[in-house]
Amino acid sequence: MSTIVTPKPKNRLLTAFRLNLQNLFPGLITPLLILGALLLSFAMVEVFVRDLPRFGAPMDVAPSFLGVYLFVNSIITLGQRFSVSLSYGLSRRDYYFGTLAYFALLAVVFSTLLTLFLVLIDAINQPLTTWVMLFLLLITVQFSGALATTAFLRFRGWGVVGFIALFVVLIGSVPMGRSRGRAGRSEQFISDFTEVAGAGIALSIAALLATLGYFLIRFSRPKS
Amino acid sequence: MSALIETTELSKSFRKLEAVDQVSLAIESPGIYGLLGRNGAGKSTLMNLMAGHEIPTSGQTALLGQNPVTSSSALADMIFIKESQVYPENFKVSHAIKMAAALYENFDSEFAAELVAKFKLPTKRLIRKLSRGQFSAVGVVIGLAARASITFLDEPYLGMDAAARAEFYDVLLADYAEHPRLVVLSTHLIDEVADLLEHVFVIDDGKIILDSNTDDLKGQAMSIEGDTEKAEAFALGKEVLDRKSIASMSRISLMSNPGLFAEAQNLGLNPQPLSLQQLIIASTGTKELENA
Repeated sequence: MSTIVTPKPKNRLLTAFRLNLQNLFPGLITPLLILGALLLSFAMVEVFVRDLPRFGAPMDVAPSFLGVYLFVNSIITLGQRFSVSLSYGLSRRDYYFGTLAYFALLAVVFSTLLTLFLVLIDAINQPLTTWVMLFLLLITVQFSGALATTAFLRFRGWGVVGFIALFVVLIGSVPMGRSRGRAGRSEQFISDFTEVAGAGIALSIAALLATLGYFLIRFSRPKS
Repeated sequence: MSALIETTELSKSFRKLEAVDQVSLAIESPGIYGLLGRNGAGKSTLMNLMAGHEIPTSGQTALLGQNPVTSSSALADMIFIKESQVYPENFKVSHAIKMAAALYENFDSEFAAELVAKFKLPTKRLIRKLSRGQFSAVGVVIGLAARASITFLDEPYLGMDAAARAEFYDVLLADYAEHPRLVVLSTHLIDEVADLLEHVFVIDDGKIILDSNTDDLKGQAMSIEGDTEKAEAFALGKEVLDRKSIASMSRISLMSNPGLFAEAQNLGLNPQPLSLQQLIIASTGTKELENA
């Protein structure tokens, strides 16, 4: 019987990460262009129409815009490349964690850029804290997007329904807590955290989302 | 050493449809293997299971001795070119080729460029804007240039014209001769690929009904033509695959053995060896393949 000598495989997780850098437009360049236009428009309002009431500072709008954009981008990125990545011999695990590493890179890049901008306009006095909070926000929304996608890949329509139901329950619990008078206690509980503890909890939530996504993608099937 | 691919009582059902039913097969050495059958027979599902894209309902599949659903190392030197491949919306031909080049140690970029020119592929065009034949050619270029040790090609020529298909068969054979590896090719254009294949698996209604070397199949089946009475008398007690009658003449396909050919001639019947396609049509009891 003749045998096949397989070559030493490349680091597949790193390769999966690098694959996302092939086309930088959707993840990096497009949001940068939109963000640049957004910040420029605010700067122009600041310079030329000082007397008009302010609609909101760049700091208020930019993270929300980025959060929504990166959430959608994470869904598209993870969903669209899944089929072709499996066909080209990537395992589900390598593909998933390689792509999450790319999402983490985007979170680093955008939180750094935003923090630098805020330092430049002298809007913050604790850049490190701001950077950490922005990073955690961006990584959490992207991992949420990844979880939504893996739920779809695993259970198709029912997966999306399940994700939305979970989302509605989490969001709905806030006004429900308020209506039952528990908000004060919850807010007090949260405000009692130190910044480090808060960051730790946010990081744990991101890790939990990533882990749940991994369990779902392990037995997912590519759409054909 | 474990087999390159092995399935044990592998089944996959979609609700009430048993797409793959208790399939056990083993591929132990490199070669060009054909997975043949009618449309909807279960070829693509079986390939998806072997490559780890589908999760079996029951049974097991092993690629290089490992579970292809979970093992990274088993998949590292495998490529699966599907006729229904989904690429990202914004992917150009060049993106797909670069992606494959990044993933396979043995990827031959020069060979890929040669094939791109041969199939006249516009590398800067979005994949979703390609014609069906060009879309298939992208898969062919990547599938061959990757030089993966295990290459699955699921109806890779769909939409290609006859000249492009002939080109593909020539390139596949030449490249295989230079770089032997395991190629599993699913197709229903059996006559076109019959000369390429070393071994065939025929699947029908999710079951493997034939698992044989192509050489062993030659002369394994024959047809006899002639007077119905004589033909029926000759066929009595033999394994008949198919029979057709017009007026007093009959054409009967049956399993053959070395002496049978001469025996039919002596009785005044006209014996003909069955081609691979005819054998499979007779075995699966349909004319559909002939019309494909």
